[in-house]
Order: sequence, then structure tokens, then C-alpha cells
Amino acid sequence: MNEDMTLDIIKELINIGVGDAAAALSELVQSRVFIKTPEVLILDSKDLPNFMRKEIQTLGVYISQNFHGRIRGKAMLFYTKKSCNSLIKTILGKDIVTSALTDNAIATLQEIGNILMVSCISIISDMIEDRVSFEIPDVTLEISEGYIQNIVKEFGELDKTIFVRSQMVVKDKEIEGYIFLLLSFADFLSIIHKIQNKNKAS
Amino acid sequence: MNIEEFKMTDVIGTIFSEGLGIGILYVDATLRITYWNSWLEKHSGIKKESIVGDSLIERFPAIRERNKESYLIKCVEKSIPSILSAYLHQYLIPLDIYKAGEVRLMMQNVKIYPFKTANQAGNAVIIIEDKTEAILHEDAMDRLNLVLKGIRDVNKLILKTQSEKDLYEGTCKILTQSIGFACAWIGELNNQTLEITPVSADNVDLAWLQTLSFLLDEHEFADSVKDSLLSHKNTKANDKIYGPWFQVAERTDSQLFRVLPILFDDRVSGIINVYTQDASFFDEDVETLLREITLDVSSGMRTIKEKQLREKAEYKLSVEKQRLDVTLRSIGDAVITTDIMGKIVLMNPVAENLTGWTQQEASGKPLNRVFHIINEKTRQVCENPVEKILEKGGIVGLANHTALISKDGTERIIADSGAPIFDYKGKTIGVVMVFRDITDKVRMEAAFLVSQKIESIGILAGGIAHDFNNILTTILGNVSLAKNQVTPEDEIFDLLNEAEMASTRAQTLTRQLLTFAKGGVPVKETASIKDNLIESSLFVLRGSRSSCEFSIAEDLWPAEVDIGQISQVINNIVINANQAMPEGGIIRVAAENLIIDDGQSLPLKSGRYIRISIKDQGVGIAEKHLLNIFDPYFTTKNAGSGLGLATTYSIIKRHDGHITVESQLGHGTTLHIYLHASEKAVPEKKEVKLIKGQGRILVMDDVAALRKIAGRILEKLGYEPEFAKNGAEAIRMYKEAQASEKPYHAVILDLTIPGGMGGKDAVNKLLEIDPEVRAIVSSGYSDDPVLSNFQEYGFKGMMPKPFTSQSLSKVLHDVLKEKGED
Repeated sequence: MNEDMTLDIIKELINIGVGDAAAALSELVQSRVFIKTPEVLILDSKDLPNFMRKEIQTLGVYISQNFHGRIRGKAMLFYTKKSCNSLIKTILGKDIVTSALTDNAIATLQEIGNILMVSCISIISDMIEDRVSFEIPDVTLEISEGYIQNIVKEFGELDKTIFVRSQMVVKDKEIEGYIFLLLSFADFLSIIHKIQNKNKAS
Repeated sequence: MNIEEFKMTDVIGTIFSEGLGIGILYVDATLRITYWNSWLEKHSGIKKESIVGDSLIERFPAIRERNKESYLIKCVEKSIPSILSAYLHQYLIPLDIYKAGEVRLMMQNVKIYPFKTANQAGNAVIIIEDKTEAILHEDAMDRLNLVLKGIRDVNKLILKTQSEKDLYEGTCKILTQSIGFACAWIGELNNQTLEITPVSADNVDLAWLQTLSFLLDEHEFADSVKDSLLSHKNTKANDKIYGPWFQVAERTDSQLFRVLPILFDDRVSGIINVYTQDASFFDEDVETLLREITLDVSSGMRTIKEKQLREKAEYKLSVEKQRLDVTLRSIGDAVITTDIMGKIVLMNPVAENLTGWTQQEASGKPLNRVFHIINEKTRQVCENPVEKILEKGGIVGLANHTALISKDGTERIIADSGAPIFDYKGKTIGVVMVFRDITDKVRMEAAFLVSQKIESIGILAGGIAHDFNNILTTILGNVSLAKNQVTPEDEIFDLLNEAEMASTRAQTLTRQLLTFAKGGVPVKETASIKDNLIESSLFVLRGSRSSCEFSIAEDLWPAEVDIGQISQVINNIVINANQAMPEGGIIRVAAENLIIDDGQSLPLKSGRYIRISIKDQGVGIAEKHLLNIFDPYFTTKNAGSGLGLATTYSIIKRHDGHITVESQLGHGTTLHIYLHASEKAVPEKKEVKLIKGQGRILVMDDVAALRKIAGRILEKLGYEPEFAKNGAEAIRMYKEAQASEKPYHAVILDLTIPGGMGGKDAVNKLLEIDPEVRAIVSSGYSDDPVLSNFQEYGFKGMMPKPFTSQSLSKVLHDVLKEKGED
């Protein structure tokens, strides 16, 4: 299977996962949530800092969640400050800057992050017929670039990253988020092979 | 983590499950409760023993009813953890808590984790955190933030608002849009009737509000307005006092409303009414901040009122300033004001014109630099009037003969006065100078004196001329009589002829004297002015350093002129030309024929003219003075009367002619005179023969010698003369003669009889007696209009003095011929 085909498969899965998340969020905020077709890229994790520096100009909130099963890895969700404020304003009707987020607002962000990241990972784990366990997501506010560098150092063997640029429209507000699914190269290949095999079988 | 590890077999486990102040319960794959910690026991009132083993959904059916069961199922079936945030879900397990005396449901942050035990997968641990207090606190903070934002917005509004209306409307909008009140309205309070008139509203129809009757009860007024927090739920719309307020609450689905006073000058001038659908909106902090808003609005009101008063005062001041400015600019006198240091603050246009400085140039400059005054006689610089005025502290007038030297050096005689300017406390803050140009007035006064002198001289000259004419009449009459007694061959005839010619020249001289003295209507005759031009020019230049060059056309047309007056014109111009050349020079006198067609620039009818041009080599006349040189009393010469060219102009105009001037500084001056050419030929000077006649002639003259000579001539001519000394006598005699059937055939009346009736009045009386009276006017005032227009006065002929035998015989012949008696 060539890289293009691999990317197409991943894109398809992510699209389904993000769609599930949108449905869950719609129910939650009792308003229709539109998801634009996400942009998906496969990256080497060592290139992540430079990529993030270029792609994400202002970091606001970082939500991370570890998952483990037959495959294991880390899911990360970034919101720019502007998107984070829009999200809080749209869902809670409050004007709160990221530096002044309350525990309850953070809990709301955690819940939304959990929905998005779990949806994406679950669709992959379902495809490979694996049961993945998730840890409760962790929220960090006003993150700096140095913080990102430190996170990347911790990736260790998680040398492959699926990058998802997710754009959703909630109550007429466009909110852009960046999801990073970090996997080891072995797990990444394992996923690809399993999907290939499954496709062949079907 | 597995359940064995989590079974709290050690102290740490106990701390986690029981000591963190959170609710923890476990459910198995069928959602049956397997663990219920003491926190939950306390908050639910359900003991662990009585709930463990029960279905969570059955014990708390609200979980299913509120669609929260799916999170539990996803967890136990798919190991997908969930977070249920308090803001989005409020709670998972309904737990009552007591808050401020009220029972309410606990707000919960819930985390649902999957876990498995050695025996069984698909378990879930549910962790519940009580967030009620935090959320209430956050809500309170949110409300406070909103009200604080409202305060900021009201303050911004106050800074930019221009009127009470704008302030009220803006405030209502802020209360609804920034703070989130369901509606807000502001009413003005009538302190007499306690009636409130809604004047502004947002989110509620103002017109509808104005149909309601908001009336405060007098006794409850203070409490009602100053501290009223009213609940819609607890009161009815038909409440005695607050009924209309409740109607508004009903219309806007509001739970509570608040009435806040607007204070102005220590009294309530209006009220702000706010309505909210949030039953918990008003707490102590919010109310404190709302009071801030009302204080800000009150302060805004005061600012607006003060601003309006200030603007009104400024407007009045600006109108007054404008009025003063217009007045200052309109008055004919020059005005300069200075500050206490004598530096110029203001100048009006007249002052600008007289000083040659503009307000802009002069502003801030010392007065004596701009208002440069000297004594006209001594040429000494005058004392700075500012110092004088400040020293005196009152009105100060300038000394006589003060001259203002303008920026371009023009000197003007001025009259002025100055006075100190005081502020409202009586402190001197500057000086005002008022002055005017009196140069013309001074010159007019001088000219008036000159003209009076001239008039006196004129009267004297006229009298002398008159008397001289009378003397000449006697001389001429006698000479002519003597001539008639000899033949031309006699030696004495030439002598008498010379005497007669000299007398005739003397007659011309007296005529010039009269014209100089009075001007007068020209007694025109067809004449060649060539000789007159030469004679008059040379006459004036006798003894001077200048000389004349003549260029006179040989065939110069004759003109209809009063030779005496034209001589005076030539005299005046040549005198000016001579004076323009103090070192002497050539005066070129030219005369030529000229035909003027229609369309030429000269203001003359088309026709034949003669043009006399007199050109000097003098200093010339400045362009700015060219327009004024014919004005009476205008002169650039220190010793000039300003009457010479004015008289010249007047004489030429009386001849229906025109005079122009060409001049350039340093290149001399030329004056051109245009006179109508006559169609007639110059009558030849024939010797007039005596024409004899007969009839009774009454001669009226106050001078005995004249009566005598007239009588001799008349007798010589064959007439019968009789004599009267004045008009009255003449009338009496004429009447008697009429009655005696020996009437007079003609009457010769002297025009001027000192102390008696003259010819002009006498002829009127005679015409009443005899409309056919043959009256001849005679006068030594040969320029008198009665002589020029004798028919208009009732005379049949005129005879200027001095007369000769010939002129008397001719006029009698002419007058009597008409009657057929000659």
C-alpha cells in the first residue's frame, strides 16, 4: 500500500470519528454542530515542534489524553486562545479569557476534548478490533512553546503522528482545533496492516 | 488500575475514597452499585448498606430520564471514560443541598472511568465533585462583572452624551444589553404630585409604559424609592402602589424588579427601573454596584446640566462678543486695545487702515510701534498714551496737532482719546484708544478760512469792479461824446480813440476780476481764443523763470466762450504749470481743431471742437492724486488753496466742454481743454455808428455822474431823458408819466442800487403797471446772470457798464425798433 492510500484510509477513519464527536456535541449543547471535512496529515513526531510552530501561531489550551490497549499512544488537542474563548462563549454563554478559566470551565473543555479524542481513537480501535482504554484527559492553559518541546521529548517511541485540523461550527461560531494522535511506528504499521487485511477480507 | 488495587486495603486507599471530599461509587457491568462512599451517604442520606447491590438506574431514575445512562453504558461496555461537566450536565445523581435557606440540587462535575477486576470486566467508578458553591460563586462573579461593565459603559456614555435624553436612552440600553436585564426604563418624578412619567425605555414599549399610571404613595415614597426590591411572584399586578410595575414584570416575564433613584440637587428627580428574569440576580454586591450606576447617572445629569448652562453662557458670551466685534468693526472711528503692558490686543479695520498695520501684524506689538504719533508742528514724538492713561486712570485726550505716521509713512492729523479698561473687579487690564483721521476736517477748516477770505476779496473785487465800471462808463461816455464832436481828421480824434481803447481794456480787466470773484454764468460770444490764449499765458508768466512756447493752428476755429472766464482758465493752468517748475522751464501751449465722432472715449457729443493743451516739465502728479485734482480744496502744495483747478473745471463745464489731465511723476503734466467750436464767424469789430432816435427815456441809476453822462448821450442822440435815483422813484415817475399821457418809451434800469430797489425788482413792478414796458438792464456786474438771461427777468435789452454812446444808441435802437417807435 502506498502512502496516499494509507492517508486516505486514515482520513476516512478520522472523518467518521470526528463525525461521531459532532453528533455527541450536538446533543450536549442542544444545537447542531457542523464539522468541516478535517485536514489529515501523517507526520514524523520529531518534526512536530517545527510543524506546530508554523501551523499554530498562538497556543491557548492543550488537552492531552493517554490511551492504551493493543495499541497505545497519546492524543492531544490544541485550541488557540481565540478558538478557546469562542468555544466557552458559545457553549457556556460566558466571556472568559483562557488565563481566567474556572475549574468548571476547564471541566467543560475536558469533556469536549474527551469526546473529540475518544471518538477519533475509538473509531481506529474499532477498526482494528481492539479495545483501547483511555485515561482522563489533562488540561493545560496558556501553554508556551517550551512546554511543547518538553512534551515532544516525552513522546519517546511515539514517533508517528496523525495530525487532524478540525473545524467545527457551533451556534454560528467557527472553532478550530488541532488533534495530534501519537503512535509508535510499530503500532502505526500494525493499524495500517490490520486495516489492509480487513479490506482484503471484505 | 484494578479493583483489588483500589479496594482500599491500605490507608491511602481509604484517604482516596473517603478523605478527599468527593463522592465515589462503583457500578458493575449491569450498573448495580458495588461501592457507595461515606460522602455519598452524607449527601444522599442513603446508607451504604441500604444501596449497595441496587441498580443505580432504579434508585436514581432521573439518570435515565435525563439521557445520562448512555455514558455509563459506554463505560462498562466499551471502556470509554466520560466526563460530565457541571455546566453542561448540572448533575448525574440528584442530590439535594441546602443553600441560603433554600433546597436546591447539587451541581456536579462527574468522571466515569472503566475498570476491571480479576473476576469481572466492565466495571465503572463514578467520581462526583460538588461544584454548587463554585458555580454559584462564578455566577455571582459573572453578574458582578456584567454590572461592572455596565458601570464602565455608563461612564463612557456620560463622557460623550450631550443631553438628558441621550443619557437616559443610553443607560436603558446598557442595563439591558450590557448587564442583561430583561427590560429597563427611566421615569421623571414630579416631586409635587409624585407622579412618574416614563421618558426612556429599552426592551419594553415606551408608549405603552406611558399609558400606565406610575404614582408613588406619599407615605411609602422614601422606602419605595430608596430601597425597593420587589418580587413579581409575591405580589399581584393590582397592588395598590406597585401595580403598574408588576404589569411591566408580567409583560417581560420578569421575576424581580428594582426601583433606583436618580438624585439631583439632593432630591429625587427620577427613577431607574430594572427587571430581571433571574430570581437570584440581586444580591448585596450587585445592589451596591447598581447604586453606583444610579449615582453615575445622577452625576451625568449634573454634568449635562452644567454643560448646558456653560454652553448657554458661552453662547451668550459669544453673541455678546460677536455683537461687540461687529460694533467695533462697524464704527467709523479707529479703535486699538492693549493689555496692561501696552501690547496690542485688538485693532478694528479703521485702525488697520489708518496705521497701515493689520491686526495680525500688530497683535502683541507695543502700541507706540504701531501707533506712531508726533506733534505736527514741532515734529517731536508724542508721549506713549498708554503710560499717560494708566498713570491718570481715566480718559485722556491727545494734544492738538497730533499726527499719526502710518506704516508706509503717510501722515494724518488725528484726534483721539484713550481710556483704561477695567475687569469686573475694577482692576485695570488694558487700554483702549479711539481715534479718527481729521486731516480733511483740518484742511476743510483751513480751506473754509481761505474761501471766506476769497469771498471777501471777491466781494471787494466785485465792488471795485462795479464802481470801476461806473467810472469807466463816465470816461467812455465822455470820450465817445467828445469823439462825436470832432472829425477823424482832427488831431484830438486819435487821442480820444486811444483813451477809448484803454478804457475798453480796462473794461476787460474788470470783467476778469468779476469772474475771479464770483465765477458766474458765462456771457458767451463767438470769439477767437488765439490772442486771448497768448495774452493770458504771457500775462501770468511775467517775471517768472518759465517761458511759453506756442503752437496754435493758424486756422483755429472760433468758439462760443466767455472770453473773461476762458482767460481765467488759462491763467490758472499756466500758474500751476509755472509752480510745478520752481527752477523754471518751458510751458508748451498748443491749440488745434478737432472733430469728435461718436464712440470716442471722451464724454463729449460728436462735433467740432478746439483743443487747448498746456504742458509743463514739472514734477508731475502722483497717480493716486490724479482723480482728485479737480476737487475743491484738494492741493498737494502747501500754499495752495485748492480752488484754481476746481474753478477751471467749473468754467469748462459751464461751457459744455471737457478737461482732462495726463501726468507721470518726473515727466510733467499736460492738461487738455476741449471747447465747442462755433459755427459762426467771429464778428468783425466794426466801428459802431451812432443811431439817433426819439422818445422819452427814463434812466434810473444811483450814481449822479452816470445819470449825467447818460443824459448827455441820450440828448445827443435825440432822446428826452429823465432820471431816477432808485427803483421806487423810477416806478413812481413811470406811473405819473403813464397817467399824464406822456409815457416813457424806454427805461434804463441799473441792476444794483445800494440801499434801494434795484433793476430786478423794479422791472417786475413796471411790468405790473405796463406789461409792454421797454426796460433795459444795465450793470457794472457784467457777469451777473440777469445780464446773461435778461429776457427771463422781463427786460428787453441789456447794457453792461461801461457803455459808450454807440452801445447805448444801439441797444435803444434795438429795443424801440421792436415796438416800431424808433
